[in-house]
Amino acid sequence: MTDPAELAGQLESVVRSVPGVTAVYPASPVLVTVVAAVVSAVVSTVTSTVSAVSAVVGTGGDAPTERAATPTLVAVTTGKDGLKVAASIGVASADSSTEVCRNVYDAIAASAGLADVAVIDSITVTVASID
Amino acid sequence: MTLSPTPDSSQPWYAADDEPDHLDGHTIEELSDYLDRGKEPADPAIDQSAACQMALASLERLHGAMGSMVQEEATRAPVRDDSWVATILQGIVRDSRSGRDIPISHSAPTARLLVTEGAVRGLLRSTGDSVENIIVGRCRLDGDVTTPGAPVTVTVDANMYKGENIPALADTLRATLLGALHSHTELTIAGIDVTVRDIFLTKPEPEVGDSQP
Repeated sequence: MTDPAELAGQLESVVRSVPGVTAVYPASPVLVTVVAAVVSAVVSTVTSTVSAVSAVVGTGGDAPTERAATPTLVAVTTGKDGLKVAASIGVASADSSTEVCRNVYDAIAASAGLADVAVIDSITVTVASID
Repeated sequence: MTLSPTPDSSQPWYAADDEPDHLDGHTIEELSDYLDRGKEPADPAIDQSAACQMALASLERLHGAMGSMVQEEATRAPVRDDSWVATILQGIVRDSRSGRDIPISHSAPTARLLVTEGAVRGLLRSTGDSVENIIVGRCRLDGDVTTPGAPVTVTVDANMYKGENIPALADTLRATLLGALHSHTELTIAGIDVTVRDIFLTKPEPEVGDSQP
C-alpha cells in the first residue's frame, strides 16, 4: 500500500483540482496540527519524550496509535475498520457547497491512490468555509 | 520537558480554542492587526484556519462598509456609545467558530459529508452584508441541525441605515438568505427571523476614486 503521507499528498492535489474548491484546511484542528508538528520534531530528536507528548496529542483527535504521521492537509489514517480519509475545504459562494462536497468525495473515492486499498472505512469531507 | 510558545503567537501551543474570545488561538484584535498589516508577515496559523479566514473576511467587509461612517458619526456624536461596534466584533468571533456538523447526503456508505455550522453562519453573514444598506451583527441557527429534516430557524441581528424601509429591507434580506441556504445546505428552514438592532444615522460615502459600474 502507498505510504500514508504520500497518499495524503496525492489526495490533497485531487481535492484542490475539484471546481469550486477555494481552499484546503488542515483536517485536524489547527492547534492539533501544530502539536502534531511539534511531536514530529520531537520524535526525530528525542525519542524518549514521544510517549508523553503523544498522549497530549491524543486528547485532540484520534487515538495516537491510529494517527499516521501525515504533515499534509488531508488526513489519512488506518484503523481496524480500514482506511479513513478526511479533508476540510473552502467552497466558493458562487458554487453549491453540497454539490462541491459530493464532487470532492467522488474525486477522492475514484482516485488512483485508493485503487489498491482493500477496505475503506470512511471518506469525510467537511466544508469549513464558504467564501 | 518544557514546551515553548509557537513563533507566531504569544499563546502557548496547547491553548485551547474554547476560550470565548479566541478563534484557533487568536483574538479578534490580533486578526484586525493582521488585516491592517496587509496580512504580512504571513502567519500560517491564521492562513490555515477556516475560522480565522471567515473572521478576516467579515472584518474586511466591516471596515469597507463602515470606515467613513464611523468617522462621521464620531464627529457628530463624540460621546455616542460605540458598544454596537463591539457587539458586531463579538458576533464575528462567535459566528466564525466551527460549531456543529451539518450533514450533506450521499448514497455511498463510506461517505461522511458535512458543512460546519460556522461555515453556514459565515455564509449568512457575507450574504447579509451583500444586501445594500445592511450590516449583519450576528447569526444563529436554532434547532437540531445535525438531524436531516429537522426544522431549523435562522435568527439574524441586522443593522440598517436611517431612512430605509425596515420591513421591506428585512424581506429582501430574508429572501436572499433563504436562497443562499438552499444553495449550500440541505437544512429544512422553518423560518428566518430578522431583528434590527441598530439604525445608523449616516450612510458611508464612497471612497475617492470609487466609480459606479
